[in-house]
Amino acid sequence: MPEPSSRPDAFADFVSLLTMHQADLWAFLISLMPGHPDVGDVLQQTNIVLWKKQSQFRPGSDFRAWAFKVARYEMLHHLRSRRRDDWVPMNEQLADTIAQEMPDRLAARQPRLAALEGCLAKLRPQDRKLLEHRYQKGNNLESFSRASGRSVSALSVTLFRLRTALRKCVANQLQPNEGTP
Amino acid sequence: MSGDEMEREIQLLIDGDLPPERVAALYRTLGDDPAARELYYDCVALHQALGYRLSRGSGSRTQSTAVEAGLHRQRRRSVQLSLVTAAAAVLVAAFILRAVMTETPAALAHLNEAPGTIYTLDARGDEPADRARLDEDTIVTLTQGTLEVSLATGSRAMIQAPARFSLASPQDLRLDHGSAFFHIVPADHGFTVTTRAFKVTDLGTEFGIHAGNDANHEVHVLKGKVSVTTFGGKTMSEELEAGQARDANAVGQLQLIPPDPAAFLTELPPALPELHFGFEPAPGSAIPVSGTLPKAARIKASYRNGTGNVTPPTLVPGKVGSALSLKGDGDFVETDWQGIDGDLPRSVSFWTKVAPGTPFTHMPAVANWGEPRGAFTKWKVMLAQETPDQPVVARISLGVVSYDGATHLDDGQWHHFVAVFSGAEGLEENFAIYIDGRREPLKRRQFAPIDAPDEKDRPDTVTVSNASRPLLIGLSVDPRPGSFPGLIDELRIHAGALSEQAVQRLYADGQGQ
Repeated sequence: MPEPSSRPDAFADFVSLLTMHQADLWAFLISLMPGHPDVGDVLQQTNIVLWKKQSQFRPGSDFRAWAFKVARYEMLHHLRSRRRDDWVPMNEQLADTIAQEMPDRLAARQPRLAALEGCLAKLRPQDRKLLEHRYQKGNNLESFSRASGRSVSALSVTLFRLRTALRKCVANQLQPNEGTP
Repeated sequence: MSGDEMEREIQLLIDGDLPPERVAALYRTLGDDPAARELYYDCVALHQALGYRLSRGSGSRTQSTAVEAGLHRQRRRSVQLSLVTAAAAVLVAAFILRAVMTETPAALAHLNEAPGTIYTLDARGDEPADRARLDEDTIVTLTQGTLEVSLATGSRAMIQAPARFSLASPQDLRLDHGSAFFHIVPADHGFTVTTRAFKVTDLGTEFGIHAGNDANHEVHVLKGKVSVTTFGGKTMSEELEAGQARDANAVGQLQLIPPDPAAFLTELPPALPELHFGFEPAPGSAIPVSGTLPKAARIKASYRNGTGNVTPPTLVPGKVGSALSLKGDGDFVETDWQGIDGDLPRSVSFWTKVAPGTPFTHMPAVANWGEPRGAFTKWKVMLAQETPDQPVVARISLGVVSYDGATHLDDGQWHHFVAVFSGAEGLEENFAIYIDGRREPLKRRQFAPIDAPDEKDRPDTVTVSNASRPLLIGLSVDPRPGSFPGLIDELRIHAGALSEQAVQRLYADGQGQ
């Protein structure tokens, strides 16, 4: 068991920082290893490393930058040790660009979640059911196809349209409200 | 590429469904085009947010997801996210300590699967949440495809379906049945593999084992040394070196057999194991056979003309390279491959073209094997025409039961034909026919009474009997005059049920997409 910080306040602060950055770390890893089934494993390993190295973290320094750096290192380590023939890695240059740009893009996360909540509320029940099915681990479109009687290709098209619509809806909600003429 | 097309490619990439060649192209675009990256970041953020918002804690694979779900519940109770408050920090700390930092026992091994692989994990009656993790005594049942078992030490096994196995300890794998390759590192010296017929102990080596459902199990040493001890009525022990192979029979005798190192996959294949007939020109009269099925390279195939003589086949420009042209006068391709047995999942895919007006009332096979006389004992994929005035359609025939597609195939155009038997329990339909990437509505036909009419149809393909025929291309295993009159290209026999996406990929590959 790693040694938590000796100061209770520092310990709570560290836990808060670690917790607050979970979603961003997750998205960061997805952006660097898109479609890879082990994103969750790498995030888990990143959390463990951050926890074990918490004594190296100086309160007031940039936790976010440190956490993303650790996440990228853990990702590289994981990809080297668990090579998959069915997954194409990014070249280093693209990975560098994404690692540099993605953290800034994730900064405004809370408004995005609130906007997404509103956009999801506008969906038809059957569309929401398809999304829920897709985003519950272990559920693929084939099992939904069997249950719903719709072909996988038709469901795939619907899923594409839903996600595109949600992305645009979130973007619209985040636009500054300029009022009506 | 339009914006919609770009977004589709990005979504497929994030879902892990984009074919490798399109992944490389998309990476190039992302590298060159800042606007494409902006879209990519938005799609990733949405994907993560949907995963966060819609996933259920109980179904989550990772503890981090559980952290997220816990935090989410917490957030819903607050108007504003306020993790820096003391109360929230205490809650979060407790949650983190429990969910993130709880020590998880190390797995004995990890499982990597080849595309199309289907397996179940049974850990004392439960399906574990983490399907990539292999714990002690978890029984793995591999229905189709290939699994790699990776031990922490670097040792690994490559196990091909159909198989059932478990790890009794880090150094003891129990293989009930299946075909497996083992690469054992020095740290695992003494690693054992136990089947119903024998125990093989590693003495620093690479070896392969075929453990069938019968008592005859084979061991082939590829590198180094093993010792093998039988369990039959008679106990025999022997040390074997590279290039040696033994078969253990039902009474525990070890018999010398030819070594067959090519029969074992040493790496995960990129797709379901398959046999492939590309019908490309080759010296002599032999027809090249390739693929990732065990023993694919040893399979012999040759063309026989209408008078039964082995001659070079007639090859014409095909869908990919050249295609096999059969006259229909009894000419065909014979092989010495027994085919897929029993009710194991299987798929057959190929391109075909037949001239308009060509009769198919003699029901010639494109590819078939098994015993011709039983109700379900053959597996025949064919073009069928019930009467001269009816259209030519795709058909899977098992014996007295068949399934017909709907698309008319005698139009002088190339068509991609895929026949699938899934073998899965609980499906509405176990059979599927795809023409040009689209699933056909199926019409069931029954030509004679059967013993259990209420049970779902399943093949019971008999591959080992006096009446069984091996894989024949163009000629029916049941005695019928004539043979297939048309072109056949890119014939593949897949050891498993192809998914709809895999069918569409094969179709797109043939179209040059």
